[in-house]
Amino acid sequence: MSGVSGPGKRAAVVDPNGQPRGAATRQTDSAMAGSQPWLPYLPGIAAIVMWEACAYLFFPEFLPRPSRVILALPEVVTNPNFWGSVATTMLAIVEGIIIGLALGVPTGLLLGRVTPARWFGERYLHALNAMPVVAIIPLSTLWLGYSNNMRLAVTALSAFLPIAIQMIDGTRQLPTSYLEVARSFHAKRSQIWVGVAIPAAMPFLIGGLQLAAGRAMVTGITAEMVAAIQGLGFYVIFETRSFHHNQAFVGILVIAGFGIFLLWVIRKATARLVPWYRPAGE
Amino acid sequence: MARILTGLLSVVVVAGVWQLIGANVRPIFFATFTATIKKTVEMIASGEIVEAFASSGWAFLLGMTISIVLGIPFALLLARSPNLRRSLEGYLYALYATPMVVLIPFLLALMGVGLIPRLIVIVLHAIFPIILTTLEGTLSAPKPLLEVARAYGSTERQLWADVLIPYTVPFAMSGIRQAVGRGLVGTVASEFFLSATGLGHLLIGGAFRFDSAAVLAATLVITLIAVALTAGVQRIETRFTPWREGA
Repeated sequence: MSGVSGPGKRAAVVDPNGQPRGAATRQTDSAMAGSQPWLPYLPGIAAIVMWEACAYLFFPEFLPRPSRVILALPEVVTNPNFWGSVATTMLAIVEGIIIGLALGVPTGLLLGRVTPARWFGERYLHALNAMPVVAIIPLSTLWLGYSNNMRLAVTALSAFLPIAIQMIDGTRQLPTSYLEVARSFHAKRSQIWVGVAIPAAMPFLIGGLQLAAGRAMVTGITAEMVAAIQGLGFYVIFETRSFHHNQAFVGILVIAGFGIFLLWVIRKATARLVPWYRPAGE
Repeated sequence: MARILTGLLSVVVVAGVWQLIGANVRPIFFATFTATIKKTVEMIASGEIVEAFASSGWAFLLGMTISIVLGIPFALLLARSPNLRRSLEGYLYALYATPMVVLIPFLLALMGVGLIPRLIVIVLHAIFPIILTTLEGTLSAPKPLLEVARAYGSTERQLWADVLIPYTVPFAMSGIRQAVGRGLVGTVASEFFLSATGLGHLLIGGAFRFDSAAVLAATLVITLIAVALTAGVQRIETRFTPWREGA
């Protein structure tokens, strides 16, 4: 169950691929997939049609419309500023996650294995993790200005916290039987770290990474919107304020697509790098 | 004992370092620890923080209530109807992965500043983890449980009331715990743009005035509230799901 974290405290990510894990109910899903393959497309098409109709009937202005979003596509795609925004946002988010990973894994290992360090520092990690990280943005604008570094700092912080906390849990919950086996084979300290402790913490790290990716995106984009830094968040807010709602909506689609893409990449990397890991209950 | 001493030491060290940094940079960047505490007390006494807290707290509570009241029955409906689930599940996961803060500019243009657009932002943040964890919980009910219930001739209603819903509660609770965190993000982010009140507005206002003590005070208050909420939800979670201990 650990993937959905019924009992676990913080490994609270819904497995994004929704893999079959229930008994009866899930099997009927795949059995029926053959008979009505069009079913998943239906709500999407219905939503687009209804949205178009509502926008046409009730909101002549201020609301993007599917047909006009498509008409706005060529203009957006040929706009170098749009691509600049896409690139800078994605780069900042990926950099933030990498920095969060590079700092979070050692911090988690340290606090997980060294008890006094945990007594000293864990409460701050938990407090910051409970805090909505977007709340740190105004403070960061005072320290780092309305700059790319500010965005990078808050993105890295929001990636760092869930990774560090999951790593603490992962290293603390190392089953003693693993250690006993390693010791009875006279494993050296370094071998226990590399061969036992780190692999055992991997599922927690993946849970942390999934949380980190989502949070880094939210914080990075909010930072762009608050501080008016070049990026997709600012692109969306700027275009909306200039009454280019359909152009702005293309930005939203790209952001949503990037969010889904990031989770997909983490899932693929998990399958490749941690082949023994099963999302839940299998 | 050593644990408590180390904890105390860490508080002293952090407050001391904060004080030292604050004393050595210009106050518009980083107010000292004592200045921040003083400002917090001032802002509570003047009613500024109380008013902001009431506004944020009301929006957050309403948004969470709407998310739970709509989300859980919707998840049960999806669990009940395989066709509906197959058609909607992909969209729900996509919406879950989308950073909803980008919708704020649209809501601002459509509805202006006010409670309704704030609530929409909060619900969009909070509802998807509730729906998805509850759905996964209901679907993952072990087959033997269902078979035993059916073998003893339980009706559909009994099956739900006595087996599926109790089995789902821990999942719904972990969804709600996630929703609280995301709902707080939605509350603060929506107040940056969609509100003239609230703790988020206090933060932005302080940053625009370069009043670092006010920003630090508001951040401190938000953090304390978030910590209290998270601890509270965790306590409820363990209370409501005693049979999951050590599972």
